[in-house]
Amino acid sequence: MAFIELDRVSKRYGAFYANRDISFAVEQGRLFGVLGPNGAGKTTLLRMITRILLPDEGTIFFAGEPLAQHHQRRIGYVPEERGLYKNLTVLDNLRYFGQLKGLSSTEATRRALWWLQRMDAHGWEKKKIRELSKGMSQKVQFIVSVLHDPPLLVLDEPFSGLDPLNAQVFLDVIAELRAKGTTILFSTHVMEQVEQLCDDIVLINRGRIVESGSLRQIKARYGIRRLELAFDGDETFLQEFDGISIAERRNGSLSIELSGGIEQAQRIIARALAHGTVRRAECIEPTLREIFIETVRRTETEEVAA
Amino acid sequence: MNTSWLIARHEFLSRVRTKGFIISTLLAPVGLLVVLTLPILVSELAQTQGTHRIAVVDQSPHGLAPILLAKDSSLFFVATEPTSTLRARVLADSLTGYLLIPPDGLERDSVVLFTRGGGGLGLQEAVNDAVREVFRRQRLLARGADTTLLRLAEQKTKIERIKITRERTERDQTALLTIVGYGMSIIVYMLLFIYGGIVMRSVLEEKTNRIVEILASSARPFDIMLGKVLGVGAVGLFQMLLWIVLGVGVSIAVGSTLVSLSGAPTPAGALAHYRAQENDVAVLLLQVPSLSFGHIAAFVFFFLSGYVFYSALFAGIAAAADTEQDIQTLQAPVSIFIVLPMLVIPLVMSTPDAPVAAILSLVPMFSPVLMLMRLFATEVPWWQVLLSVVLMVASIIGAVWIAGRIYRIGILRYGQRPTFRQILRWIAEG
Repeated sequence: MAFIELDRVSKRYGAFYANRDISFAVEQGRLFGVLGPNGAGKTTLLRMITRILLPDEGTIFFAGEPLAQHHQRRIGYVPEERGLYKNLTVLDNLRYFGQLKGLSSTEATRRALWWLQRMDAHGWEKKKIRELSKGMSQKVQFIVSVLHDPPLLVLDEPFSGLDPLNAQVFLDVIAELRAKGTTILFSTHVMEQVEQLCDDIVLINRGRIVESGSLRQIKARYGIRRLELAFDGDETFLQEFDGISIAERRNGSLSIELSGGIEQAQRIIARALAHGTVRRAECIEPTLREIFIETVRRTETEEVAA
Repeated sequence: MNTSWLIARHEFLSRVRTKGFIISTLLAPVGLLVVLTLPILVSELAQTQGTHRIAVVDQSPHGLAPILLAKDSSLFFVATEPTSTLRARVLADSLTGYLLIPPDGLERDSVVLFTRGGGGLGLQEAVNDAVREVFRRQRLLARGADTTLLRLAEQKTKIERIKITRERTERDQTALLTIVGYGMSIIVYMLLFIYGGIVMRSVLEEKTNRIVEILASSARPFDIMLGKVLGVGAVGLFQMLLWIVLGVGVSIAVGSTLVSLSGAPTPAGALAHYRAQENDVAVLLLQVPSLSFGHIAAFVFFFLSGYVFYSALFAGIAAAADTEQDIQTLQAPVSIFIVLPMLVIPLVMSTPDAPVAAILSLVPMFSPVLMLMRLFATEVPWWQVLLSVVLMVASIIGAVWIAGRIYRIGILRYGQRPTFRQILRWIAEG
């Protein structure tokens, strides 16, 4: 059963639609990425799922029930911009936000200290937020979202501005939570992370969904676009193929842009074997970055045309 | 409601623990005391004309100079030099001026004061009072009046004021209560601005630091706003309680010191003093007012209701704003209603039963200041008190509802400052 489901959800500001007709489902325990260029409506979408904003049209379901106020206690949220009381200590911040999620003061304190330890941040509890660096306060912000052990975690651009070391701490924790069955929804425009992490994605542009599904399905749909061929011999045979071009040539290795997908690649490899020595041949799937750029461009030209 | 309570408690505890709270609690009474006593102190100081010296040149045959000297020896002295020397001394600033009593001064009832000008009203009044009193006595004595008669003529009539109620007759404390009521109204007026300002700044801080987004992921915006308003209000009440404890403590300490200094129990001494100078406002202030429970309840009710009414609106305004400047612009239409009663309070003080005073005091925006003033200054008909309470409660509900709608939309909007028309649309559409 879908843990989160959106059914034709729209959010409007005057005549402007921040989100329009959004429908998708997030299965329990999956890592779900919301992708889109700046201003696509990612933050508005996440705010509706966390019930900070209410949709103007459509319904959001949380574990099968229409999303209601009491569900907020089962959602953890890291907003895009950090929001902590600068003049209060780390522990005071964590304890207060934990209590707002329904924890007792002692329980919130206990969990806060545990999480600070887990995030390589022990000994910070008495520090004021204003004394922390950006990366440090980001960790505290993350702890705020997981303190009450929510089954749904919503992260808005969680990795922006993290150094590689800290980013790894975050990735490890996210992997742990997921292994425990936590459903995690996050928005980003850093495509490499999506490829590493996500099970499923939606790609939104100008408030609408332009692509959705599991990463595997989407890549399969876009097909094989490129062939990497390490080849010794006469390469004139390549002229037999229509609609291909050599994108790059390096150390006796060719990068060939295809027009006919996997079948074309197979035929090129067969001809190459006949004409020389194939040291290595690899069919390359499009990167998410390429799919992203292509889809956004395509939908924008479609919209202009419409 | 549960989260409102949590938020209110957090607001209260995190504010009460700050150094700023402790300092302001200790310093505010000192500040208020300075504001209240400074005018009295200044006028007291002005009356002692220590540095002013006026030479009396008496050309009359009645020997008026020594009598003037007896009246105020610190100001007057008998001139021994000719007027030309006096004139030079005035110009050289070694003398304030000289008073010339012509030979027929008493008969014509006129004297001449030579100075370099200036010196203020205090100096003029001191000379006027002394000369007029001495001249009046001398005129009467010249006509054969004896001193006993004179004393009789100068005696002030004491007017004892008794208030009649159905149950009993009692000493009328109207003058005293009016002054106390005025003080209370001013305190309410100041607190509305101070605590309203705290709410406003703290809402803006949470908005600009994006803390509100975290709060909104755990609680309804309306509950967040309510929690903040109630929490800061509790800080206000707590601070007032501390002031009362502090005040009672200080007055007991001061009272016992006074007793040991004068050797007489203070209340009796003060009462005797009070009888002696019936109309002296400064003396009235020194009296311990006998406030009824009703007066204190009125003060607490009107402070709290005014606070909730205005601070909710201020919270809405801050939510719509992005910067301090935005707040300055947006708060004007609300703040004006706090200030307006201050302009008519003298009218309400002098004629608390006039229809215009009654009507103005029933307007909910003005009630916290004006109805409170009237409750101290006069017997307000019970139906007016009831009506005022009902209107006040209804307006609080209305104000909180309106503010909640502005707050809900405002807190997540950044960028351009909304126009008043846009804010009205937020209220209408929610």
